[in-house]
Amino acid sequence: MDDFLTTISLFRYAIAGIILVSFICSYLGVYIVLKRIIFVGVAIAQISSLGVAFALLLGLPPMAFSILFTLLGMFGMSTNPSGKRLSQEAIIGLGFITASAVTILLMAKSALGLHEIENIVYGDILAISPLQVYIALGAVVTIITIHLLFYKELVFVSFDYDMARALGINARLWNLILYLTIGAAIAIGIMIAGNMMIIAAIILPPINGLILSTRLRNAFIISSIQGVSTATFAFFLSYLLDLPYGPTAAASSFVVLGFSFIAFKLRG
Amino acid sequence: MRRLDATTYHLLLREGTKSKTFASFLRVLDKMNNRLVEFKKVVLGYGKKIVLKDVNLTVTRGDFLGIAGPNGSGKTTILRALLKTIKPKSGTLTFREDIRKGKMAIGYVPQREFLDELYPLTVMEVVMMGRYAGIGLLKKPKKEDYSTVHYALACVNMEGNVYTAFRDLSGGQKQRVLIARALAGKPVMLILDEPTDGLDIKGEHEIMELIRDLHMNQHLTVLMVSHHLNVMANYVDRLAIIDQETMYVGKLHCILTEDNLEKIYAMKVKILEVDGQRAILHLEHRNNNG
Repeated sequence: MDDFLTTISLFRYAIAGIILVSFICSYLGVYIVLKRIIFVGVAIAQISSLGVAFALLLGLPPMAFSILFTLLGMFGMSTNPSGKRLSQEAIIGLGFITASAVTILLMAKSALGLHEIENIVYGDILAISPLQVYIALGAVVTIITIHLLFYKELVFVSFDYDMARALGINARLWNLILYLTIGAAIAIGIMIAGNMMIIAAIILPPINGLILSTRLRNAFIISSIQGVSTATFAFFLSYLLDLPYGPTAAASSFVVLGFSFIAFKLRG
Repeated sequence: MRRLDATTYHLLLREGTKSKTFASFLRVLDKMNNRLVEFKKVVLGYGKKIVLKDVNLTVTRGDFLGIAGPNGSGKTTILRALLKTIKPKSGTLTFREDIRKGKMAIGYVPQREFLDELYPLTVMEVVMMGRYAGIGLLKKPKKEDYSTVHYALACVNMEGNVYTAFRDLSGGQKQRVLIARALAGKPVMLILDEPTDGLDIKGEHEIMELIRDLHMNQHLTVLMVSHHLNVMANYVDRLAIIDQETMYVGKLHCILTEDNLEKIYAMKVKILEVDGQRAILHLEHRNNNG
């Protein structure tokens, strides 16, 4: 028990960071899954890493550039300069592969060691600083406040954009707010918990929430609870078994999802 | 022109019946007072592409107007202009002052297929969306909003499905719920985009009867876009047909003629009347080369 408490005390910032980013990413992930923009989330995660690599190469603040690149990426992927010649999926694929390749090239040219820069670019939960936790706390509180206060507008615009516009609701603004909050959450999440954990958090708990719930509000609640609990459990598991955190978090979420599928099938 | 108040207007109307000229003047005045939307030489399109040009169309209170045309002719573009999601490239599109100021609402019923079935929303939640513009930011629906939603659902005979998941409904039921959502905003005009698409004959008949009932008994102005001419032919009073960037509008019997349809659809058609119901049959494909 003492060992357990010592572990918590030692990694209190890491645990706090995990709880914050897993909560916000699994909450917003419900929109990502419902709006069928999972690949946007994956590409954005990669673009966010590109922002960090770019900042490190030029000696600039990584988190600020991670958020800046994420927002630019969000904007870029919402437009289609080719008209009808290319699908939106092709633009997203283009963003993903370009960001992945350029990130690796920038990392190769960085003055820091490859392992060290990989930890920064793709996130290392053990290297989290108190400042990062406070930034994450501020961001999560801001994002969740916006989402709770404007829940009906965000759900409406997400479900039926044209009808919202027809009713005189500024659908474009609400859609932009939705995308910006998703982008900010992913960027901060990756800096804290890493690429794989965040991608898992925006996909797996929301799928679980949508499988187990017949009401949208409940889907948000189930997704958030599962996101936080599996991410925290995975942290201790990875510590005890000396496993990399990101894959452990993704695998834990997947196991829970498997049980949910079984429960769903048994329920009929 | 300044709008007349109700008392003056009815006095004039009573007096006006004594003189034929004055009566016709009043009819014009009446039409002007009841005008909801007016397109004057409107050009519509996206970017540099012109989809429709020289659109002249007036929608007045009590209209049951259908907009038809071949696929890709610009039916949805007209609808987007009416919903103010696109602006005219030129010409004037005027909405009645009450609509512009938000005192009168326009109810919109989108195509069912455009709504994602993944969303786990109940019928109540979907219909309540029709009230959101009136509820305002940072506020929750009040008791009267719930009453309006229940009334709207009763109008479409769906009051027994308030807490059913929207995605679990049949196509016809979903259409009813979407009509209820539009009604929840207490609209003066209902705009429907392909309301009978994907429905079987029975569903098609039921939805069109419901729309007719709302038009007749709730005095709703109805504007529907559809490529189902057979449906339009039996329900609308006025018809607008789009042919190669141009829109022709008029009374149903003037527009829906075999000559017009042959010209627009480039095929031989026959309009039959059976027991007071019109049916449009295509006989053969016309040889485009002559």
